Amino acid sequence: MSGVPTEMKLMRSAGPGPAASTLEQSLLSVAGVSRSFGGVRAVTDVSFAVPAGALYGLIGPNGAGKSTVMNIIAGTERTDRGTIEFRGAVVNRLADFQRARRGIVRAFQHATVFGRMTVLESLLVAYPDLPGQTYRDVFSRPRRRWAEREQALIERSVALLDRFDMRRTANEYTSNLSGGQKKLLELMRAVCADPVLLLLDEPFAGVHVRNVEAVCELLAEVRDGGVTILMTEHELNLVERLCEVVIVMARGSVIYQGSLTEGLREQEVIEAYVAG
Amino acid sequence: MSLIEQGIGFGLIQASIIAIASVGFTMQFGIANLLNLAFTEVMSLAGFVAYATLSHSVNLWLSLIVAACVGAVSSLAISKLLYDPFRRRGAKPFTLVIVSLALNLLLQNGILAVVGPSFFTYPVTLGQENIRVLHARFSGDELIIIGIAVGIMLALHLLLRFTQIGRAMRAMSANRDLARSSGIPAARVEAVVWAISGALAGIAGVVLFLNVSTFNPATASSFLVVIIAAAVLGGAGEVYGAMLAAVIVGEAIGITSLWIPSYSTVSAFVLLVIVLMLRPEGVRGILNLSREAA
Amino acid sequence: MSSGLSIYIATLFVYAGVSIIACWGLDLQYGSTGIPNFAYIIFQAIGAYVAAMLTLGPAKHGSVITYQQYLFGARLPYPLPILLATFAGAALSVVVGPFLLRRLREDYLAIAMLVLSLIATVVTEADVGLVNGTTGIFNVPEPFGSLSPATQSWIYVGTVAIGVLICAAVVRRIVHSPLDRVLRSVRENEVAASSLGKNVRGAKLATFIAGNTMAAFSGALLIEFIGAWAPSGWEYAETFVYFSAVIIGGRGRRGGVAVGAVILGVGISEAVRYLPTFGDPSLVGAVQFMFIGALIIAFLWWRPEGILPERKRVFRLPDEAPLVEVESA
Repeated sequence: MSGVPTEMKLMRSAGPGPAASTLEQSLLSVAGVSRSFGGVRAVTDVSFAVPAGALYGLIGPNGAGKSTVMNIIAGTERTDRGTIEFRGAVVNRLADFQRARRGIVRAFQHATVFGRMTVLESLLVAYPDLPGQTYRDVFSRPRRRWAEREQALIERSVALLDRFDMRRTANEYTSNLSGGQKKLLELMRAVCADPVLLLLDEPFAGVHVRNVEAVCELLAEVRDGGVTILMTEHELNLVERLCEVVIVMARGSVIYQGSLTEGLREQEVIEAYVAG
Repeated sequence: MSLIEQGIGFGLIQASIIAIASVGFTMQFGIANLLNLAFTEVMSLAGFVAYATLSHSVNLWLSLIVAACVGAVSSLAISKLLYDPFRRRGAKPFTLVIVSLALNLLLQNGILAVVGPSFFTYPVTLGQENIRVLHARFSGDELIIIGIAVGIMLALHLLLRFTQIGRAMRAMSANRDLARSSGIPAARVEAVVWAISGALAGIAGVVLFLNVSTFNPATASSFLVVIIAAAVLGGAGEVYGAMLAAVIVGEAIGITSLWIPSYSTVSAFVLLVIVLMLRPEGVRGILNLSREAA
Repeated sequence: MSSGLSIYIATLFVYAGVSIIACWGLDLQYGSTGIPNFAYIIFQAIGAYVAAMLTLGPAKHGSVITYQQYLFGARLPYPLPILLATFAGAALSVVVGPFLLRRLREDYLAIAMLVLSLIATVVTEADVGLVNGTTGIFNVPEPFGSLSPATQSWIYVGTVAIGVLICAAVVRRIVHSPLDRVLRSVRENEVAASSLGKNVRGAKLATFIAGNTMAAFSGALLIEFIGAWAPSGWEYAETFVYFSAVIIGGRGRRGGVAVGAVILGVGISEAVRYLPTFGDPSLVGAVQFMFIGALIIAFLWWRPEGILPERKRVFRLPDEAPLVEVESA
């Protein structure tokens, strides 16, 4: 379908370690991760693994520590203990932008827009393989190099916008978008950034009902292109539909890992949701 | 031996002036979350008004009160007419810095336009006798300055600890939304803070002009960085922190003035840059004096 | 046209050109990337001082005639001093940049840089051996000294014009490239830019260097013309004037910034010259600054985007012939 190349596995240089292709080898491995803020334990001894090509859900009541875990994986938050392994390499020491360059791309829960840039510009800035993004590039390469590539990327971006009927906003400043449109843009931007692992923080929150189907289709296609997805989400029927495995967190720890239907029968899980 | 004590004594006077000013400055920072770079010009304005009253044989204490009033009124006006509208619009912190800097230029040059570029001296001398405290020598003026500073610090302490408005101020500084939802009238408390900090600015202006041998419209602004240094070092919005930091900064200036006089204020500048770069929250946390357990 | 009038007009052009170059550099930092570089003036000063010292030759120490004291000197042929001075600005930025450009609150960073500017002024005035203290460096010979003053001035206008064109080309190339989007994304939302793999710190540092290089260039150009440079010419308030020019003219837009540079850099000081003299001569300077202060507050309130706002980058979408007018969402 339009907007997503069939092979999203990757033109980017692979980090050290083999690209995960076998079922046994996980793309992402979180081990013994703990983090406290001023004496309060946000997450305690969290461990789980996500195999390549999977779509996992990270669920749990509010305050369970899901966002903290996402932040730790993405690199916007340190971890006090434990390791994050991505494609076979420990990435604890890497800054958030370095992890993004290796393929860990995240979309935030509250859309982070570039206010005084247009929708199309926001998407264009996400593509890592467009030349001319550094001073060295700008003054050493002829303009032709990026002009051509830019045209192709514009077409890709517009195709992506078409999925959500947002073509007419392409040349609008993002600050003029509605809340739901900003959220969609957040997702599209992450997809454009050439992810290997997509971290989505509540991708459906604030999205208008009529766009839910399109989002599911996009996620399915992105997956078919070889991208692994880890998402947090409150809407359990969407979780059931999309995620083959859920990781349930409560009060900072992982309390269950497995299929959603099975999990909802577990006493601990039920209690966690009731207790909030 | 006595040279060092002289330096410490000199530092103490600096600390007194800085304390009055930086406490006012940090109060404004705490309540409005903005760095009011026009603070020293309010000081200057009040200082010049006091000059006018002193020149008409009004005594020092009355002039101090007048200056405090001038400071309070102008600070209130500035906050209501300039800063609040911008803040309500959601202006970014840097925009507010530019606005306050513009105001600084406006006021400073306004004063310059009115009084001219010449140098002035307060027509007051309260006891030229050199009083010896330990091994340092102070003049009557200087002891009065220290006395005023100590008196103000005490008054503030009593205000913050034992009055209703003081408790409200502390609550708002600690957690604004929580304070508001517990029924504290935010707008009124803010106005009180601006008035009190403005009064402090007024008094600081007089005390500054009293201490220097001569002053002109540019004198007060040369103090701005020192005041910011003390406020930031003490932790933004922390009144007691600013008091302690004022002593530190004052003594730093006093002691460096012994060895490298032309660089004495630079020590404060460098201190500020280092604090901002390495630990912008200042000594907050280490010095948890003005916080109470929730 | 009398020689005096001719030189006067030429001077205006030189000042305008220098201001435009300086403001473009600041706009690259603040307008495009969001770096509140309140220490900008230091880099213009470095350019001026280095150019001066490399034109004058080594200071004469211990000579009978009291001369100027400064750190080093050489008698280099024009335009070498300007080139080396520009490089000096870049070099200083490389040293100072990493220390300054941390993830710090906008206004704290601005204050830190302002203070740095102050420290530089104080140190310069105190340590006379550095660049001749408060007096400053003077008697810097003009590059085409053998010609008549009027001709000299106009040739220099040509030099400055070439400088402006070079900078215009450089800035234009940056603005019409993907780098411009990267810089603006850093300006708009650093966290989001990072999450897309952009090296925010690196981009800021590179822009810091690039902008300051232009500042140094402008300082070097200026001093070769006016022949003297002292701390009074680069007080921290000067940075504020440049910021005002950028904000009032239109940050993020080269044309707007150029307009602001001409208005604030040249226009106001010249307009004030023609006001009837009233009272003290220092009053003129005071009124000037009062006007600038009021002007910038007015603009920040009523028209923060400036006289010529930043242009929206509009793209032609595929499957469309003419560009369709988009309605607001």
